[in-house]
Amino acid sequence: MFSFQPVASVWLISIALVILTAVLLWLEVTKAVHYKTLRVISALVLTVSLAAILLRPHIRTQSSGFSILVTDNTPATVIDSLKEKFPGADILSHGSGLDNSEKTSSPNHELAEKKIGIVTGNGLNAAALDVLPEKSFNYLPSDLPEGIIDLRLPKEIIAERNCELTGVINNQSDSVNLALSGPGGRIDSVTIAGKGLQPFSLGFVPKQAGNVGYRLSVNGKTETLPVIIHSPRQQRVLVIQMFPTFETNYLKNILASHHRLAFRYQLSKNNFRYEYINHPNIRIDRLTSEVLTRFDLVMIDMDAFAALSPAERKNLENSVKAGLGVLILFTESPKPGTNAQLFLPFTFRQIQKDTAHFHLGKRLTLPAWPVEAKTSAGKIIPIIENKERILTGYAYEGFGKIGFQLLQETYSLALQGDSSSYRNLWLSILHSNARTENRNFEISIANDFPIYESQPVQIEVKGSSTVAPTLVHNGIEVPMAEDLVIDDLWRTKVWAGEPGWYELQIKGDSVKTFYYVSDDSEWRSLATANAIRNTKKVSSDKPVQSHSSWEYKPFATWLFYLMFVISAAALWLTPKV
Amino acid sequence: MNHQPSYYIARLKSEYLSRRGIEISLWSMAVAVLAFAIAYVVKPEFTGLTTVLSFTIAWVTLFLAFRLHKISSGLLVSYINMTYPQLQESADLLLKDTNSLTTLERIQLSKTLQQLDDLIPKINVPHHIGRAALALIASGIIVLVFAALDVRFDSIQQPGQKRGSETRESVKSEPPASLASFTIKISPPAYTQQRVYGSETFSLKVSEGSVITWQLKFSETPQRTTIHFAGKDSSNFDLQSDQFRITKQLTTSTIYQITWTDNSGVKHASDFYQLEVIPDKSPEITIRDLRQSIELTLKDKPTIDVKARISDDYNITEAYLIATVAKGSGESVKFREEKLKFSQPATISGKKVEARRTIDIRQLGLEPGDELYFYAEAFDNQYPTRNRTRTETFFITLLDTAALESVVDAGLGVDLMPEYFRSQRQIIMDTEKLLRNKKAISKKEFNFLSNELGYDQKVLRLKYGEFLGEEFESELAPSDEGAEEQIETGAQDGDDDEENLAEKFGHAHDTENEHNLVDEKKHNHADEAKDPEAKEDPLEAFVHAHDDAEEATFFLQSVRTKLKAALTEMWDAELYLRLYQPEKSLPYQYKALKLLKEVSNDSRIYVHKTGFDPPPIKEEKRLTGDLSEIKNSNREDDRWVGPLYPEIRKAVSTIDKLLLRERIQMTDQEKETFTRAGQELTPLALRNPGTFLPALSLIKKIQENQVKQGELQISLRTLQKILYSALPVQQNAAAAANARATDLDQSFIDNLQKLKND
Repeated sequence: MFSFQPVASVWLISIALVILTAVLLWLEVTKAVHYKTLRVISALVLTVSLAAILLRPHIRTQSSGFSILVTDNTPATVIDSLKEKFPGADILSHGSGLDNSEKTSSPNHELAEKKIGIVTGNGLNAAALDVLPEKSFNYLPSDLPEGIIDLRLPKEIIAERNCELTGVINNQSDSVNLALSGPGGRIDSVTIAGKGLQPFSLGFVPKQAGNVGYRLSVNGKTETLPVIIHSPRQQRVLVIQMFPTFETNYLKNILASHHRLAFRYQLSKNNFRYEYINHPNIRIDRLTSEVLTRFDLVMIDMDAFAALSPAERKNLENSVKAGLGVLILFTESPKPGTNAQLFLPFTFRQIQKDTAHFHLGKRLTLPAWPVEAKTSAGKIIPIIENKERILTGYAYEGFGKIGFQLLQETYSLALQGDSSSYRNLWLSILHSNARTENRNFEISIANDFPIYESQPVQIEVKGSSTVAPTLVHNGIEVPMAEDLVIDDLWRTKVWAGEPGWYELQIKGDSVKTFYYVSDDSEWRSLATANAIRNTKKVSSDKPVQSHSSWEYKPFATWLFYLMFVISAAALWLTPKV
Repeated sequence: MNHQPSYYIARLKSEYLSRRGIEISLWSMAVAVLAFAIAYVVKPEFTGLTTVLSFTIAWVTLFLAFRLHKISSGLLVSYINMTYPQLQESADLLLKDTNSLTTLERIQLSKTLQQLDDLIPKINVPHHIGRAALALIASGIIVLVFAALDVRFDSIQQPGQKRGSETRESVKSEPPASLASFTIKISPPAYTQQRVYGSETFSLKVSEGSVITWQLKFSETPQRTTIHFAGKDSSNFDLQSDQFRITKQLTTSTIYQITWTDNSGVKHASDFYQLEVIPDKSPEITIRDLRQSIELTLKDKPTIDVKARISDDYNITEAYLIATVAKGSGESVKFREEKLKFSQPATISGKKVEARRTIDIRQLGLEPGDELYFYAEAFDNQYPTRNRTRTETFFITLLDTAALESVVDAGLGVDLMPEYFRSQRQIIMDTEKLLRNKKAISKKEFNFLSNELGYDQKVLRLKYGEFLGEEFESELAPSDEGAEEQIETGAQDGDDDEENLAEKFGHAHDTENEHNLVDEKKHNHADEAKDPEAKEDPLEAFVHAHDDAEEATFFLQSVRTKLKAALTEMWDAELYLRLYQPEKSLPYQYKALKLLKEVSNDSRIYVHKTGFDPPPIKEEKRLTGDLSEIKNSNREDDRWVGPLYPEIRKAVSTIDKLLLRERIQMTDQEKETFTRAGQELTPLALRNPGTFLPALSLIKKIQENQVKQGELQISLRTLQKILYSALPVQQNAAAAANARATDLDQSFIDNLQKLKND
């Protein structure tokens, strides 16, 4: 039933305590004092408590072999049911408190020592999950909290481009109003009616690059939404055509203000007409590898392509594999079923329709070549598509992309006064087909948003250098560990500080990224939803098996200390006369 | 009644404790009040904490100092022994055990207790409540003095600033600090008839051309005071006795600021103020209830009632109608202009006028076919140049109904104007159609239609005859003239009889001499031609011989002959159509058409093409395929548009960073960013002061640390919002992907390719 774990030899402690007890009792008994009985009892309690402190008694209890970890928002009925089913299981808690009191406070490091069989409630955050040695527990999730439970922004937000913030809100009231505000005040808002999980989207166009704290308010309660806005990158575009067309002329107008363009029109076999806009005058009469490395995107029509020499075609092919983007413009309906002598990884199948209806911000209708693109090598990634076919798309070829464009007379949009749609259409195409920028390193944050103070931030760095890269976190160097299996993949962990922006940079490199630490009071519903999702992800579907075992649990030592203090106080304070 | 000795001791103790407690509380409060005052001046955000802490520390310190936690009975007894001699130094007996007292001591004790009964209400335990209260009052007075002087630690620390001459924060229309008084007098232009008035604010709204006088008085006369207008030069104030004065006449809206340099050389600047100039608008005039184009007939009322509504922001001085009468038509149109004054009111004056005038078109001399154009004009009283406005032009047409009636009158038997003018080709097509439908229609109808076609042929012939200058049909009779040019009419011999019959019995309609009332004089030129020995007319030399009528034509001789031949064919075609033999008329019609075509070709005039005159083609080089002279062409263009307002963008980013700080403290570099952003914003503020002027004021306040720490966040957010709104939305960026690819990605792709190839 009981066992002892004394701090020293039991005999030594016993003898000492007996002597002490005897001395104290003798002193009390021999004194002629009032409250003698009280003093004697206090002396006895003193020695008993001292004995308990030194001997450390343990009591034998039955255990189920695992612990039940109760997190926030677990109903009391669930806990009672679990206790009934697993009477020997420890009830641990993790979080800000429950209405049931049979719990022991369990900070993260203590969870590592426990075998957790069942987790209930809102689940564990990433830090706690990280600590658990085994993740073979069953998870009984609570209901999703009220409020925003999912929030998505594009991976890369670029200044002066339309951007959409989407998410899901768990609405428990009749209607909820969401409003997005930025540096310039309110940008967009939406009122959602209907209870339950409701999707929403809010649009904005950031006017400039930087780390900006937007504000998303839900029924007046505002939270900071950190947005990292990148500067638009200047593109270098080479257009090769047999002769100028309306299409490229209009395209020139929208690209000329921000990008570097070069045009080559072929007048005869050896005669060309060159046009350079914001671009240095370089020789582009022959498409050599060196020339092609100076450009991010080559737009070439089929006739011009056919006129290229075999060496130029080879250079083009190699450059695409190295990362160049190529967009093919058709001057006639692509011949179906053949790649011709082009290196296009597409084949085209004839169809009836020569008009395309599609949606790009709004419904648009344009003529299109009556073909449908298919690829033998893999999937075509669509840029613009409708229900019937892909109108503009690309496929990867090595590091680069080869794209096609089936829409015709897109400049008619501009002529009709819808220059915004025309711009959006071509920017989407160019954005997708252009060369991928090569960097030495790429830093990414594994954590979901939001990140709170004192939470671990998992950082991954991809890249290579002759020496191990050093991560600089807000000016402080942080060591990293390389993955055991994958070369050039490094990981490390930092702990989030006070709310605000933090910078991550590789020492000696220009690559930088930022992350934001939110205030504890913000985005609680989203954090809870993330915890539920993440806990679900790592939990096991196999029912946990309970196997009884006996174990010895220590008595609460504080009780003995309290007894010691009270008895000593009584001895000290009771009058000695 | 005697109490136990311990009662008196206990009572003394409690009284002492309470008195001392009050005293130390008062002292602590005095200390706390002083601490509050000091904290308010130095660190306002810590006043609460400082006050509480100082009170607590003071109280505890005094409590311990007075040893209130261990009040000694012996001390109290000593005190009352010293203070009250009537106790005969016997108060010590209170502390002794009564059982151990001697008889004498007991007697003395009871005596002492009796005296204590009387004394106890009067005993004053030592305390200094009064002093403590005075100290509290004194500290309160000090706090009030501080508040009255509005001392600020940070403003004290500003270099070069004297107390009383600090620049205080000023909102849009508050006067600059250290200004003792100011007067702004606005004198509108005399013609506006507005009185001179003053302004209590520096932001002004004045009429165009107003003269504005600023008069400033400072608490200490600065070295120099200047007024700066945005986008314009600045001007110095004139010092007159102890006041600075300047007068300006402004015609455009602007933003201005006043700066002054004090005697220590420090430059101060006021806030930015808006000066809005309201331009003098032109008068507005509208003509009511009148259509822009009116057509009148003689039967209609010949008067037009013109009602004009004229308004001006100041005064209308003149308004009238300008009427133009156009008489005649074609090249003989004559115009006459008249100025018509409004009949009501007699004098045009005031800000709003309802003017009226009745125009009598007969009085203006309009006749049927003439037109009247009029518009209204108004002038205001702007000096020196009046503003003028005119309305659109109104058109009154007096129709010539006589001309119309003669055309449209159905009472006449003959409609001289054909519905449309049929061409020869149309007549041929209708003839062919008639022949096709011959079997389908009755003979009567056939004959009727054939006759109609004959009439059309006649009309056509007459029209073409006009070109020959012929007025009489009689001259168009088939003649022998130009026998060598006679074209075979296609009349066969077999038809000669019919021809003769036609001539013999045909009824030549529509000829002048239709009923042969006048002998026709037939000219037989052929006979003349055949007879070369014809007699010479002896009077020929003396007769004023006019040109032959037949020579009068617009065309050359050959063309004329062809036309004549065509007319001849038309005669024959008409004949057969009238004889209900359209099949016989067709050949004549074809020939007539052919001749008409030839005539139209001959009468074409070819004009030399103007404009680009290409160089002559070098035949020796043409089609040789020699491209040696064709060179590559190069064209370079720079259309780069960088991001607009770079400084404003920097300021927006800077504010983002500042807002994240718990305590916002700006560096000089950050303030400099705001200064440059303000410079970029100034032109925008000029155009749109209502929106952007507050931003300039905020920038100035922030730079001069005039914004309290607690309000800094709100001010920065407001400034950011305004600066952000100044940035244009440019959706030009192609926004190339910033997707990154590292060597690891490269290896991945390479391995993928290898797998694909394997």
